[in-house]
Amino acid sequence: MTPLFGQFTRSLSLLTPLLAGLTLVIMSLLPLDLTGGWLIVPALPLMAIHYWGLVRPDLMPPLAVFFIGLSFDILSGGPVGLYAFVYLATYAVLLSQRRLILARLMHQPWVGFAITMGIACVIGWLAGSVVARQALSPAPFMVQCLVSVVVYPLIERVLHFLQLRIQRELG
Amino acid sequence: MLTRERKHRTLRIQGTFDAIWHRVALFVLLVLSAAFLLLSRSEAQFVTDVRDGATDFLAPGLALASEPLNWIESGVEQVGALASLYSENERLREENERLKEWQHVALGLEQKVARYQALLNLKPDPATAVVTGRVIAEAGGPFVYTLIVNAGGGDGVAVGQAAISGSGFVGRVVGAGDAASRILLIQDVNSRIPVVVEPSGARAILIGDSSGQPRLDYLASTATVNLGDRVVTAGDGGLLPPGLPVGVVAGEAGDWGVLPFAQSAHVDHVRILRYDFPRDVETPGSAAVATVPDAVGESLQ
Repeated sequence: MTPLFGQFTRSLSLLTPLLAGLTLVIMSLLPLDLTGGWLIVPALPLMAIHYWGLVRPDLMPPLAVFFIGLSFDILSGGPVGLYAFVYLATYAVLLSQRRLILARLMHQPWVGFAITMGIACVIGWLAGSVVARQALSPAPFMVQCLVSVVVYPLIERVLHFLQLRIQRELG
Repeated sequence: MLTRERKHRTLRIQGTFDAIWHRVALFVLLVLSAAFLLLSRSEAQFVTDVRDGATDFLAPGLALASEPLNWIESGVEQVGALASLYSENERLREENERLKEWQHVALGLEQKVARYQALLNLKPDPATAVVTGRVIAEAGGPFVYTLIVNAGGGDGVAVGQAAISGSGFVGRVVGAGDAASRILLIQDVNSRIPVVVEPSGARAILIGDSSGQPRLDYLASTATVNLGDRVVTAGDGGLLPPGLPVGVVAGEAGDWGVLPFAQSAHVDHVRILRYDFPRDVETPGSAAVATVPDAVGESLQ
């Protein structure tokens, strides 16, 4: 392996969590009806933020979270800054409870994500209601929460696979 | 020994510095996000340009990626349809019989309306050109309900135009790049559509509230509205053509909502109406007549 190629793969490994988050942003925009007419897609980018925030927070810094949220805001057509704010606030709570989650729910990643998703839904509902200047219906938030928690184990496997590759690369 | 201690101390200081930096960055970015949110209320042109550019840039990739998903969805639908083939056939047969009866009624009414229009010398509505686009992306979240279609400014799509599916009104164009455009659905919290409730003719504003059932607001207290009444676009403001079917009244008195005809999650293609509202309305004192779509061209003598 040439030093240049080695440097490239190392940089790619460092950027993998961010790239995974951005890929999930694009995936969440693809038209696939999973909720029987609700037009609500799972919070895929939040899955990347949750996973890397717990496992390798050094590779998912606040700037990466901000960038993922802002990309989603711009591409989805929603108020700019809303998802960036919700993801950052959720990330802040997640980091503050990181040790606890890792210690207690190490073998139940699904439960850990359910907690993160619940926090994101509450923050999202509050922030969204303030921006819209009306109390938003909580039903879509609950549906998204449920759909996301159901889908998470699938995405978690992919993210875990990526993490093993990164670990091998970075040592 | 001393070197190791020094190394440990350096690492500890580095760790503390990292943690502080992490928190400061988090706080600054949270404030920045909140500032973006405040600015986004003013709908700055810069934000619109960035959105349209990003949508245009990603449109080919999204179109490519959405293709197999469409196949999967239609495959699943077809398998589901196979299971209920017989009952569906029976239902369609009955519906066809009913529609044939309605066709006779409609043809009779069409002739009658044409006769009356000729008698009144009514100016016909301007013809509306249509652009059909495939849905290549949809943002479905509690905050935002939008679709991205692969038809944009290059095809004549412009901001404000109406988008309809086979079942009814879906939403309006809020951003148009060269190759793709963004449609704000009627379920979105930012959607405001002037509508008319038929048959009473009561006017209202249809407001999205992030549920699947937008609500009817600004209804006159004397307006007569009943469950199941048909709701169509009013055409007020000149952006949308009047009479596009939106949905039926649902909910209860005092808190009326509308169940849309077009269920957004099942929309694969939309037609964008290039409606050109005639704007040459005369100023008072001049001789000519307003050329709004439903206006009478010449007064009865």
